[in-house]
Amino acid sequence: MKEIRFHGRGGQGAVLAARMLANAFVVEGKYVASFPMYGFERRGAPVVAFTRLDDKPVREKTQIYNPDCLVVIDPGLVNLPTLFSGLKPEGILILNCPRLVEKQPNKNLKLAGVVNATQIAVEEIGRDIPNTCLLGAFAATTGWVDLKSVLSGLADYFSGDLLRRNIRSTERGFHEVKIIQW
Amino acid sequence: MKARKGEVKVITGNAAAAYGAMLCRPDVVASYPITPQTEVVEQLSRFHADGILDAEMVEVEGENSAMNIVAAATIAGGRAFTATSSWGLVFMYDALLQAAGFRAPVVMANVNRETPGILAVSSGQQDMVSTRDSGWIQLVVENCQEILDSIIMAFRLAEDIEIQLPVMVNYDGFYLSYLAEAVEIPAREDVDQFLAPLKLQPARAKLDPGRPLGCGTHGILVEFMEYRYKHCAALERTKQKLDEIDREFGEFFGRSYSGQIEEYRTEDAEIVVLTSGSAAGTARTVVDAKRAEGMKVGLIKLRMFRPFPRERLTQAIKGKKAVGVVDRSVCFGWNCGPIYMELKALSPDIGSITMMSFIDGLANMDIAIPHIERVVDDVYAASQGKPYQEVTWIPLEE
Amino acid sequence: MVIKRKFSSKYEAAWSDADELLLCLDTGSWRTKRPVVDKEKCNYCGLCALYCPPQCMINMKDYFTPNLNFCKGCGICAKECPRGAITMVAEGEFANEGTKR
Repeated sequence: MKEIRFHGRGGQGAVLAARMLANAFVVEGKYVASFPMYGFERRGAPVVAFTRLDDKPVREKTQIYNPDCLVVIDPGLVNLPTLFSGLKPEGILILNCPRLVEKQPNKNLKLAGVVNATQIAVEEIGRDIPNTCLLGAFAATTGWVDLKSVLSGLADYFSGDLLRRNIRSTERGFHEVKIIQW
Repeated sequence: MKARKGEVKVITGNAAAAYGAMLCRPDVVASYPITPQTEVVEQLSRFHADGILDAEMVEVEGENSAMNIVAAATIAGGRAFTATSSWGLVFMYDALLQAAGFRAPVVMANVNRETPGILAVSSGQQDMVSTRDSGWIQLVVENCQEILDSIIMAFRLAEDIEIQLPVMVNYDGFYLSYLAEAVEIPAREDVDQFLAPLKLQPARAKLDPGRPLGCGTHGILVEFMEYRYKHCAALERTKQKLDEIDREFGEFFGRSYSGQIEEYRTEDAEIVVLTSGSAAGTARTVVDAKRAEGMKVGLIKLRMFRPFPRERLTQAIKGKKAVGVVDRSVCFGWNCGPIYMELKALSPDIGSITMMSFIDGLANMDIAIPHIERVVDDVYAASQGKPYQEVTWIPLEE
Repeated sequence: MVIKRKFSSKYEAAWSDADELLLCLDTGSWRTKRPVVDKEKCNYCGLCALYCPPQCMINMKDYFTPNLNFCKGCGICAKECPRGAITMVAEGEFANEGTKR
């Protein structure tokens, strides 16, 4: 079983990102359970989403304390003291950031995929909603899911022009993510 | 005869509730939004706007009106659905009691959230507990598929001529309401077929224009006691009826939940954990892990809270050495959990057995795996004769 | 036996004492942009502090600076500054600074 923890802010699509990723895993025949936890339901307030995936049904309905992977949607959250808490050894980070992460932010972090998803989203979608771009980066960095599974899942959430734009944003995230290893 | 395979979609618990209701073709839907239930209302409105749900959607200014409307709709012979949570459930309290007293077969999704008193927009089963004497049937479920399936079974149960009682389908706010899982959505024709036996039954009493029949009139003296008696008798019949409906659901759709309770690895268990809702899912993984270490532990998942599954629980627990009950609520006046307190009432039937109450998961606090491991360890120690604490408020002892 | 945790509140019910502490929320973590004050341009007029909704402009005797523990990045200070001494800068620009507050 793999445990993924998303960190974002209200309004950035963190919850939707977790769900779209869940779709992608289900397309590939995996079992998934994903849910968010937030305090105040308002723009800007921190949001966490927990996604579990496995080859057999996921039964536990608790928060994730030892993630295998962190997906961080807001660049400023990298400074959050609790961000890396519980990260498993050989942990992976997918980060939306305009600049590369130079030093290893946590000793359990072995692999990071960094992409300027905000800029790509603004260019492709016209708005700062970096979630789909980060899903592409996730697929490329972890290899846990195929890009085409991620793209096929998008059709449940978008249609028409918005779908095309989000597909482009996802593809760019996949191809333009910079992968760093420690 | 088996149902065809349904479409699999990744949806939240709230969406699953909306799908369940939509598939049963309600005539009237009246619901007011409240966190963490709002998505149910939104999804039903979306179905209606897309022409998928052909129901009278009544926009209400509050939950009290919502319950009055849906109860009245069923009294007029229609099928009705609503959804609410905590404060909304409390706001509709008088209408809630009326619906049960009128024997109005409403189906309601109640998304469990802490009740007024200490402000919290977070999960907890206190709302279900605080309405346990309303006369409603109360079910409580573990995952998104079960939400959808239980709503279908709820209509079949509520409208059965031998029952005629409103059914509340409870599921944890946040942990289930917002949980996205792959859910198989049955075909509407198959749901029609599953509910079809209701049409073959004698028609229940209903309001009919031109016919001088009134509902909700006074019960004077002995008649009052008769109606209460009949209500209680219907609740008694509900237990076996749910088991039958669940069995039929399993044969037709391929998914069964064992009716009033589910027993998981309890046959040769020496100790058991009794719990309900999403915590049951987590408890399964702990039971498996402890079993792998050689401990003889089992899980009993309570699916029906009202009526209380006296006979099946007695049979499941009799002969065990100890039982730990994990409650996501408190029982005021008994200083323990509510399900624990009700289980204790079965002591004469069950015989002498160590019972322990664990209170956890209030206000979105996580009933995490280490918590349930602690429950199992404490219950095991008690079963071995070690001194134990009857009631444990788990988060306060960390 | 079991060691019970000490209660963290002295009250019997959910009272909030404004003399002590109402509710301390980490609103600083909500911010997506932060105000950056150009000390050269600032003339210490105090309008930013007056307008700041959560009153979190710190008086530095010669200029004002935002309290980053609570500043939500609403941008009202930048809008109201008559000297244009305050600029709103995306938080991402400060990502490599670590958990400095």
